[in-house]
Amino acid sequence: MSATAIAARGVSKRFLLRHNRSPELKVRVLSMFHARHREQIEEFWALRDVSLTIRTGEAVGLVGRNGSGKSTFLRLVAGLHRPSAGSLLVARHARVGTMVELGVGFHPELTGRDNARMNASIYGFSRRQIDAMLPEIIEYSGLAHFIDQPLKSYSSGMQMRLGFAVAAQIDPDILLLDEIFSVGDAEFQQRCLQTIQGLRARGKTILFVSHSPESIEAVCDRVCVLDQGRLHFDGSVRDGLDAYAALRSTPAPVVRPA
Amino acid sequence: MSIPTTEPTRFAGPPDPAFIDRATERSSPWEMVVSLVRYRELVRNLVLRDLRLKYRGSVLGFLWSMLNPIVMVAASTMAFKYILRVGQERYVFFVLLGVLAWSFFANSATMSTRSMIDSAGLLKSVKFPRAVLPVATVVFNLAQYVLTALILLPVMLIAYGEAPSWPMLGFPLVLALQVLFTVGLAMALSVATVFFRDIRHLVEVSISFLFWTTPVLYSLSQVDAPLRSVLQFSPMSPFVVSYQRIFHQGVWPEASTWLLAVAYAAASLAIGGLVFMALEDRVGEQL
Repeated sequence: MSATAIAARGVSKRFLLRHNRSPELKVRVLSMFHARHREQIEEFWALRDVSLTIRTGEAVGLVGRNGSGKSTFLRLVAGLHRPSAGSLLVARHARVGTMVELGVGFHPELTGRDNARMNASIYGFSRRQIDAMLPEIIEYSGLAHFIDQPLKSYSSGMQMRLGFAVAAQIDPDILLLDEIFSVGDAEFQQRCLQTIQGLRARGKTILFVSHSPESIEAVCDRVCVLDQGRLHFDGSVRDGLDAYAALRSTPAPVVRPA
Repeated sequence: MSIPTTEPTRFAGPPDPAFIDRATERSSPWEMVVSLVRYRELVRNLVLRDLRLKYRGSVLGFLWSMLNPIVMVAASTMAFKYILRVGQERYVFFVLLGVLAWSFFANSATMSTRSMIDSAGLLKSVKFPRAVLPVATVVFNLAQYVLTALILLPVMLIAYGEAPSWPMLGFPLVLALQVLFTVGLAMALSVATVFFRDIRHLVEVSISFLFWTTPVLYSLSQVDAPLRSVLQFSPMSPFVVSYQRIFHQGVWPEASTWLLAVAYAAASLAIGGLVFMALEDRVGEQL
């Protein structure tokens, strides 16, 4: 049995919905005197008491209806948000790669090459490491011809290919994927899928959020279903997708803060 | 109104060193410095991007950023030396020193209020040391300052027949203190503006006020005693006065000026670092 990569124990995440809140200092000061301007705080639990353990090399699909807390869980694992309660252990020496959005920080006026460099440096690579990665990124993207053109001359499909090429070369130990298959054409999706399967074959841990049963089946060996912030099901892919299908046929809950 | 607080539940047993707990992880000031060094390539790329974008498509390129201080010096020379007739000797040189150092400070402070907000997409989707952003803003302005100074200073030294002197060795030291001072301020402003957007306007107003309380266009020796002792404590005064003494008068800054510069740099870093660490956690949710 392999080592634990991610261990969630009773993880909850509360967001405060601040109604009537102004980002302006002026209004905040005035609100001390006027009830009408005062903010109302409502709390919303995006995740409640979620416990699950993911071992190194597992590929876990995270499914659930919109607002069930899937993306929130990814963000917590990535360290973008802090859990409100519980503990969320992530292997210290694992490089966590996020493919939540492709090509974050891309700038239209910079060349494809400069954008790829920038994108890779966001993950903390040194200049020498990036120099070594760059030929592979360019080859993988299939954009060698356009790489020194400004990004604004790229089609959106080309931009995605570049973004994915960088993400694929980052070689994370834990890969967090959020719905990237919803974008791009069939060929691009196929390519993404192959890359992810390749990473899985090399023993990387994958946490994959998707609405597509086909993608989940192609990538994952375990499925967790989240519903209204709670862990609804944790088990095999087949049973998990069945549980999700059953959930989907019941009317969606009215999202109401507790 | 009260916000219910839920303390993260700790589970029994000592924390396992092989894991990071996302609920409690917190980086110390030292770890922040280490992570900044590790992410230096990101800082470099951000600075290069901003420099490229700024001079893209302009024929004169970098010369444009020298035009601003030159016009400023010309206008103030006319106003002070020829109209009000209160100018120092070698006034153009004197003013230039202050204007360059001041622009570095003022541009960094103004730009830092945008550094987090402009990178909202990045902050929401990738975890990287957030301090990279304000630091990159300061380095971007530092690069412009150093490039401008490297061209204009030798021109001035030659034009006024000033020989290189030992006190000029103090220049990198004063500059380093000014950089630390500016970084501390930029860190605080960058996160604070995420929570209170109108800090931007506050900064603009404060900058133009501070400009007149800093001896850039006039010399402290022209000011009467009670006011002078107030003005010398203006935040940018010790730095500007040091540059003027080093290059214009060719002498070392006084001990009290050094002391003030060190104290301001340390205080700014400490306060800026504390504000930053207190707020950076919530930046992702706030944006």
